[in-house]
Amino acid sequence: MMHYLKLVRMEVHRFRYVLAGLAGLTLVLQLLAVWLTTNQRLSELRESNFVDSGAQFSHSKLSFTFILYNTQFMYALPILLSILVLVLYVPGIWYRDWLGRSSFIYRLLALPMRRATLYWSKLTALLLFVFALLGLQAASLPLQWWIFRAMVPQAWQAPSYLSDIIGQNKVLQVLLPANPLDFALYYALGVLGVLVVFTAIIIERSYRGWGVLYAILYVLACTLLVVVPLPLLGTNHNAMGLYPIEVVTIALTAALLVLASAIWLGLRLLRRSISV
Amino acid sequence: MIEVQELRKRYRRRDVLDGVSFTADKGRITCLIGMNGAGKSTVLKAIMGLVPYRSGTIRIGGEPPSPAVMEKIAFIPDRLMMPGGMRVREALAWMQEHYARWNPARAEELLAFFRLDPAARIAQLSRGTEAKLNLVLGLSRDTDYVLMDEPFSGIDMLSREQIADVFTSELVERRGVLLTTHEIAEMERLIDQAVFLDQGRVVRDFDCERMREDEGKSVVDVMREVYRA
Repeated sequence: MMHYLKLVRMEVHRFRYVLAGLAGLTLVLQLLAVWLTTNQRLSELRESNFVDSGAQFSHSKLSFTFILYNTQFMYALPILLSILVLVLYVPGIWYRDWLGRSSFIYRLLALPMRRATLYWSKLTALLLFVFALLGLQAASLPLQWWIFRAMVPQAWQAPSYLSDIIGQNKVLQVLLPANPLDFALYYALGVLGVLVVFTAIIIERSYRGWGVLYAILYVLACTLLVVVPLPLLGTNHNAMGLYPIEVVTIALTAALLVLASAIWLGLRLLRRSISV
Repeated sequence: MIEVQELRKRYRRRDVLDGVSFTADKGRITCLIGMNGAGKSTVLKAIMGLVPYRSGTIRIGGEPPSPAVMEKIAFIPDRLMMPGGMRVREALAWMQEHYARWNPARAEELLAFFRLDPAARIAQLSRGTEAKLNLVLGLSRDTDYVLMDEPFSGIDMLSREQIADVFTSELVERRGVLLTTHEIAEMERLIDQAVFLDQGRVVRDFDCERMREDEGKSVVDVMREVYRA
């Protein structure tokens, strides 16, 4: 347990500058997006109110929901960039230990611990990065809302609700789905994907030349197993005449099968076949 | 005792290890000698579980390799194998954090002996200084066995002398040392047991003292016989 916690801490420490950079970028760019859009809409509103009624009263209002709806690209950009960096870091978290002549993997594999500890520590670190950025995203929404309220005169403010706010941005919708089941499903699929990539990397590191081919075939097989039942989900009628509950069972069984095989194969190869 | 029996490994259609068997006793310095590609480093890596092997058995102090056994054995690879961004003191802290048998007093002593700067960044160390730090990391653990892969490779003369002094000190006295080298001249006077490897096979295995007494031959003499034959 102590090795696990120490390794998680080490992985977080190694990624701290990138994580801080992504967090900073997300915070700044999204605040900027909200500020710029609010400013722009505010001047438009002032102009239209002046033209319509000689600035005596306003007939239209601004809501934070509306502002977020109009910041789509700039608001989503840091989120997409964070996702890209984290996706690239899934293989990176392993391969960086093999990089260079002085590869750190010698030290890690020689530690007096079960090698599964290394595997779980890397997965935990990645999950921590994801949920740290997600937490920051959730925490920055009230800040952005506060800035909106500070910029727009109260009389021109229309009410907004948190559930509506998240629904305004297409990326946020996926990142923070309102339905807890959707949330669990998206992130469980994410973890499954990470574990399949982990196993593919361990296959490649175990068999090197041929390992690349084996790893590609393995990822393709897993993807097929998980993806094929998905289009059938939520449909009442399908070509095979299956009931919805049967489709869900098939999809869940396939995903669990891939999950179990990824963990089993990854840990087995890490214990027996991996090479420095 | 480290026992290696009938170790076999194939890599890229070649027998890298072809039935290697030998023992390395506690309290003695055993040297695996051979040309480049003879399989010396692969044997050490196999003992540490860093490369898989096809068949054979490895026992360390009578036990098969396991996490608990790894506490009893220190591996000093041919390079430092620590992230370049770390500082010397951080590398020591990392080792202390992960090894129960880390001896901080000895680490400080060795740091002073080799005159290493704790604040220096690993990426900026010279090859010789890197080799010294590598020794500090390996020898500061209270282990029964020490494996060293080419401890003199690519190091200047003064650093070599300093490192050679370690082999005659109490730092390795009661431990079993298994090292590899292809530069035997440096080590000849220090080693107790010589194991000659050629193309993945043990071709000679002898006690150096007895060889000198019985046949009047040095390790280098035997080496000439073996590799020039």
